[in-house]
Amino acid sequence: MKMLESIYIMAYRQIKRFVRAKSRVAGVIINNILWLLFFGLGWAYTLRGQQFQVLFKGLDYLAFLLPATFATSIFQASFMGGISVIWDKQFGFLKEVLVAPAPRSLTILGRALGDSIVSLLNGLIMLAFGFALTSKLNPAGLPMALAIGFVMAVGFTSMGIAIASTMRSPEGFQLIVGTITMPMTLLSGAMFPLNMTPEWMQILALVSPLTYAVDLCRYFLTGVSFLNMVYPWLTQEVEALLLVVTSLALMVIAMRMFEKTTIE
Amino acid sequence: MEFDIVVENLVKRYGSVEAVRGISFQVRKGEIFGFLGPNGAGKTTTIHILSTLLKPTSGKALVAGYDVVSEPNMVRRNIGIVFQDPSLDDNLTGYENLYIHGRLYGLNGQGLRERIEEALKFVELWDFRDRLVRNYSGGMRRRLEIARAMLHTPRILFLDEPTIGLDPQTRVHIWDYIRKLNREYGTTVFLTTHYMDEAEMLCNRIAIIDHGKIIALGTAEELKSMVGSDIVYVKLAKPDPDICSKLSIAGVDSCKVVEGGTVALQVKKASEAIPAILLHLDRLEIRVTEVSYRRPSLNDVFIHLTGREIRDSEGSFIEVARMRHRARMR
Repeated sequence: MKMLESIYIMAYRQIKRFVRAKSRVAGVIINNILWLLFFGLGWAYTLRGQQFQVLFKGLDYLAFLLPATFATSIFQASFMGGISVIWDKQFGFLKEVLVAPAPRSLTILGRALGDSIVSLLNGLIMLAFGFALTSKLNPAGLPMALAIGFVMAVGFTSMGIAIASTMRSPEGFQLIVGTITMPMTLLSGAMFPLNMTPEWMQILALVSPLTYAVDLCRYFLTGVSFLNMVYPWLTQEVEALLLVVTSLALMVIAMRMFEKTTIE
Repeated sequence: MEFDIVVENLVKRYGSVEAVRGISFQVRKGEIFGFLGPNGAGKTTTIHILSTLLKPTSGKALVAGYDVVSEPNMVRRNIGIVFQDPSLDDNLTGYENLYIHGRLYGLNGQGLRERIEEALKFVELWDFRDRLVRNYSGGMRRRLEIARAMLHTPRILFLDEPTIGLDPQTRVHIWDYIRKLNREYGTTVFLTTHYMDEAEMLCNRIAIIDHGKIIALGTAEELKSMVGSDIVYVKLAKPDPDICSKLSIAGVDSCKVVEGGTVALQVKKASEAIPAILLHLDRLEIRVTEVSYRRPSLNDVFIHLTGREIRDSEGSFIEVARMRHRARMR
């Protein structure tokens, strides 16, 4: 009971903070709209026509892009969530948590869960626009997509926290976030089908857990898996397993790293 | 005698710099104990070690009977702390800050709600409970931090420079809360400060710390008696080089003429000596234009021990009572 208590209260805090920060909520929604409008619709109109449907295995570009954007937006929000650890260092709240009798590994777990829920909400907003823009998404796949979204959110939030635990300045963290999120997002197969890319690029893509998350979300929301078509051994079960294992590993790493955080 | 904090030969080294250089002291149960010293003397480092946030390089520290290194969780359960730098969540309300704190310390339900109300009323912030901390003033933040630190009724309260950067009125308020907390809840208080007046007004016992070492320890009175007695300054209407020979009366230990016709008299107790001195001078028909006296301050103690003043101190810590005396006209 006591364990759940510490997890719950830190999750509560992260969510409360997000809801309180109206500009952050507005920023998320506006970003999503702009991305979908200018990038999504832009390419959707460019790639209109039968000949392109072959590329996307029968999907139109919006149906191809939207489920993947759900995953990448969760990824970016989760990873960025780690920055709040640095803010807490700077504004001193971290000391309050470190000096409390609640175990540090549990307070950080609660924090990761709270931030995961926040980024899942983020993804849901994105997806709501998606459902408004195209009728090709399958609502029946939503629960599975949310489950995948949550698992990846926990993993990437943990990754953000682990990196933030070792850093002092938000600027430095932002730099790292930038250099990691951009290639991972581009390589995830969210914006173009990976099966057309050179082999070395595919190998790099397969190293990143985000690639599996994108493919799974697309599979559950549209019924098409691009990875499975190229690599028959990559069934949905294998992909899900890889994702869960990576997320758990990242979570344990984050807990370990945070235990070692000091105020020095 | 029961001790809430026992420190033996505590050392903290950062690389080649020794921030704390082998200090030993005990804090009694229910006492207000102060660490007085200039910035960089090792006060905050000591408080961070005692509150389990830093590991000592060597030495031993027991807080509430538990070792800070081997039993940090038991120590954490028994202490509350107000850090020198702010440590509140600005984006939450005062109430929410306390609520999260309470849950982290294992409180919940009705019991927690009652404790929050009591703590917020104690520091007179109940009416502001739903305001975001971002919109609190500096003094309100400090009070909220005190409320938070006392929320889980800790046995020992650590306060790191509790009134730094606050206006004089707010400081007096904070002192009142600390005294009340100590009196009503029997909380042992360990505080650090570089303000003489704060140490003197609040603390039962004071340890003067400089360059990571305790150089003196005792009550304010004991410390001041290291320097000596009160000094009375009498300004004469007409300078008189022979005045000292005329002032050999009981209660005056020594006499010295300082510039401008002022005499400095060393006395045991200024409040009793002044009337006697004035009466005596009046009989000799010597006119006095001004009388003042100075009690040795903790600053004098610090100067006496180190040859320096405690740096960047604010406020007037030298207690000077000025009494103007108009000599009766003949």
